[in-house]
Amino acid sequence: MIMLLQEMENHPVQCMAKTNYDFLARNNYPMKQLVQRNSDGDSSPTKSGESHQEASAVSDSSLNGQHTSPQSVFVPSDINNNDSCGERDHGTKSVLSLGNTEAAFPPSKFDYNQPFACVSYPYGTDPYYGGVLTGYTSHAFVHPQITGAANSRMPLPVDPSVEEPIFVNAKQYNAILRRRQTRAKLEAQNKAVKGRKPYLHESRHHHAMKRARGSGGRFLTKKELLEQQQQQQQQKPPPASAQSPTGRARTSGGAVVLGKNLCPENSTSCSPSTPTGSEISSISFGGGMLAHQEHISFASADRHPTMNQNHRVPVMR
Amino acid sequence: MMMMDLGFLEGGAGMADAGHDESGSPPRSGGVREQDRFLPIANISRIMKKAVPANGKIAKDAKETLQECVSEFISFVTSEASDKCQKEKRKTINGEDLLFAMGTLGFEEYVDPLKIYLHKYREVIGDSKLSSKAGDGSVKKDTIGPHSGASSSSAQGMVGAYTQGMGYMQPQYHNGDT
Repeated sequence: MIMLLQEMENHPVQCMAKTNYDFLARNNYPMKQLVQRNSDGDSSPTKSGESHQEASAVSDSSLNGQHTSPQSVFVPSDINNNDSCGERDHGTKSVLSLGNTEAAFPPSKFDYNQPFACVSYPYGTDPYYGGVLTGYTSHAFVHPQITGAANSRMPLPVDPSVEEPIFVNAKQYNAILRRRQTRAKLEAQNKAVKGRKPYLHESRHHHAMKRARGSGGRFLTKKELLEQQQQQQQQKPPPASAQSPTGRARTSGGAVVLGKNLCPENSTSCSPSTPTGSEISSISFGGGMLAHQEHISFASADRHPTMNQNHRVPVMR
Repeated sequence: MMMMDLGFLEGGAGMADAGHDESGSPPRSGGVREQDRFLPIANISRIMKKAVPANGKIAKDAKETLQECVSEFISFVTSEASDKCQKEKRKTINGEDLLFAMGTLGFEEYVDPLKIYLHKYREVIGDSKLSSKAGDGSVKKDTIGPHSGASSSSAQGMVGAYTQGMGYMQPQYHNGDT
């Protein structure tokens, strides 16, 4: 049953991730909105920021593990995409984090499944954070015993947050106090780093955001890009030349094809990236155009079937 | 050796607590400082991958945690070595100072393997100086540069960080042998 639940959770995560990535990659307006959303994320309170960073970090784990060579370029942009996902829908955010957590940490599946199953989405974040603190506290509690058995122990000065004193190696006591003072000085000078930036270089970040992405958020290779361009060229002529009823019939046929493709996509964990990415990108493109701009009556007539397609995709999920 | 490692992790845990508390109150500063404070995470990931099977994966927060631990360990040992150099009124931190600092901090088991490593490392540096090869020679000369011009404090930090970075790989390799 746990496995089935995990599979059920994973599929919508992938679908949401794909649509969001393609939506961001295609249109200019979403990029601007993305920038605004990032600023909104920065203005949010500290706790939500921390939980947000944790969620984004956890969600990146599987991608980082899978793809190593473009790590420096790939990771920052992926974080931003996850940020946009989180800002759009809290339920999606929690689902994303839980799904990736299951993939990344097999031993901790049981711990995460219980609060997720019992508690609703908005309340689910607090047990997760509490769980993290509890784990950390237990770690702190276990280590002193081991070190005590090995070496003589000295109690460090008690911090207001830590209820119990932490015992450390006597030889390291003075050095630890010195390091604390050094770190305090750096923070007084505002030299200490608080929180991690999603990327280090602005230009590299922009370049990564412009690159086309396939299913699962991975960058497309040159061959896949050429294939997508060829498919777009093939798809463009028929709706332009044909009349409105013929166009509707063809788009309905396309919807059927999309439905068929979505089923095996959900069933199999690994799916071909080219056709799925291109089809999903077409859906998101239509939705984006309708949402952001107004067109003539003929164009709007063409867009109605696209809206129908958008309605059908959630039904399939 | 595990006991020694746990001893340091205890210290690291305490400092992590302090860092976590401090992170709440002050505002954010420039992002450039991250590069000054931490080692590059890609290099750390590569080292971590050597200890993981080919089909294994490493979570991003695990990499970030180790990045912080490794950077803090470098500052920890360098601070101890720097303290000794200040007492002796010397401006340059060399390999022996770092080894002595590790012994003072309770990492005695690491001192003997690192002495052997330092000895062999200096032999290699000497050979590269004499032969002055095109590619490798230029790279090692670049690394020797900050070592020779060690009158400034930034050079001290660079020398300490570089030497400690090289020294840290040695115990990992040693653990691999055992």
